[in-house]
Amino acid sequence: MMDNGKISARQLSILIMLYCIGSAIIVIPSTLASQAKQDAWISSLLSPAIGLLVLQIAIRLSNRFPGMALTEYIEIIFGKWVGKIVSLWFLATFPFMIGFYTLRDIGDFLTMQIMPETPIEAIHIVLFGVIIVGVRLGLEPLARTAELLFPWIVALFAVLFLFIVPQVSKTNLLPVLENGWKPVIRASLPYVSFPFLEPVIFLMLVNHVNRSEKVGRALFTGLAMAGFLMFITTLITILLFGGQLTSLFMYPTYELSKKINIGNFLQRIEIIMATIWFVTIYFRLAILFYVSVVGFARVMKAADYRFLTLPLGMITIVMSLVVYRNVGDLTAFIPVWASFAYINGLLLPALLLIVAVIRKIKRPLVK
Amino acid sequence: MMIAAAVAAVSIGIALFEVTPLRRQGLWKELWTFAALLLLGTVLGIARALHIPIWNPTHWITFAFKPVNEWLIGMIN
Repeated sequence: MMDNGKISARQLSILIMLYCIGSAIIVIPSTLASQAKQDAWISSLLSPAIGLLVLQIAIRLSNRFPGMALTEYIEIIFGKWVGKIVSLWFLATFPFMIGFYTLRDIGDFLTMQIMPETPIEAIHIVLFGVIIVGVRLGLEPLARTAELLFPWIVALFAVLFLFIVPQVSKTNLLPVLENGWKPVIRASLPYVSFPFLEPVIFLMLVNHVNRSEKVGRALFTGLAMAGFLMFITTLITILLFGGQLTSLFMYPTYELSKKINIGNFLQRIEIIMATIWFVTIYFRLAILFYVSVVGFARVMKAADYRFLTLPLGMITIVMSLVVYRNVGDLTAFIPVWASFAYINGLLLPALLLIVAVIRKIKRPLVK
Repeated sequence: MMIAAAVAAVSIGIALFEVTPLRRQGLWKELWTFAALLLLGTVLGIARALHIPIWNPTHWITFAFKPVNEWLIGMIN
């Protein structure tokens, strides 16, 4: 039986927020600062704005086909067989492949910063085991867990910001726009693709929302909140370290939480802060894997999706070890991914919407 | 060698866990898909354990999209 779980619009909002914060939050300040230096905070406002514009295409598409998943209306718009091929291409190169890179992100972070002597394979297997358990339970338990953990994430963010504020200095932001707007725009490009072109993946989940008229607003609020939290994080990182130092760190947000020191007593609480990204990366990976598995089961019209979790999980674990040789490959790959993501994140939904509008295809009335 | 054997053992474990319910319900299409994907996973896992180079999506995306990216950056400069 396919997953019949229902989630509320609020849960969808929380899921997309956790998804977008995901693994981006630990690396993005450094990626932005490597181009824009002390103006990284301006880039971090620009990218969510573009992301919210692109989201409008996805929302139009989902309003045209309320209560349907993306792969279902790809098959209506492009016809059955071409539609199946497009769906498989989308699933394989977007959610499934982002899964490899996200798993590798958390693996690299743990082996570099927290558990340097544990082999990365062990970390990947244990982490992905938990993801598989979550995905086998279905979307509803995942969404409820997200709702339950959401206040904790907000509280930890608040603690992080409040504890670090006494140490920041305004002069780190100066001079504003030293080299004009160009570096700022250039810096925002990879951050637009990762993660703000990815909400298309959520078109695979919106058919589970119990009130489909609220989907658009829920996606918008969730994405805007993620953008806002990432903006605050980038701003605080720049305020504390300045542009140059931020661009040299691999994980500036983690370095930020190491700096917390209240009265020489409350210090070295970075691992508590790391809980934020363990949770967000868990949901990011769980959603990516859920969408790939359920999408694949839908395309092949299988009776269930759970039997796919273990073999596809095995492939994900192996591929996550293969995709980078070391962390240098990651820094080289982020800008390349930035241009690749436009195919699935912008061109595909735009094409779907244009074809649907021209051929006047809407959701079939009988269902 | 040990790791390759462990990967094979895990695959057999997964097969034992999933095949019986699928066969009992007569879901043959699902069973074949499962077998093909599990075989792919096992082959990839063993190749990784024996340090055989595996098809790497990062290389292909870099190969195809580095020029696109340079063009994009060039437009802004």
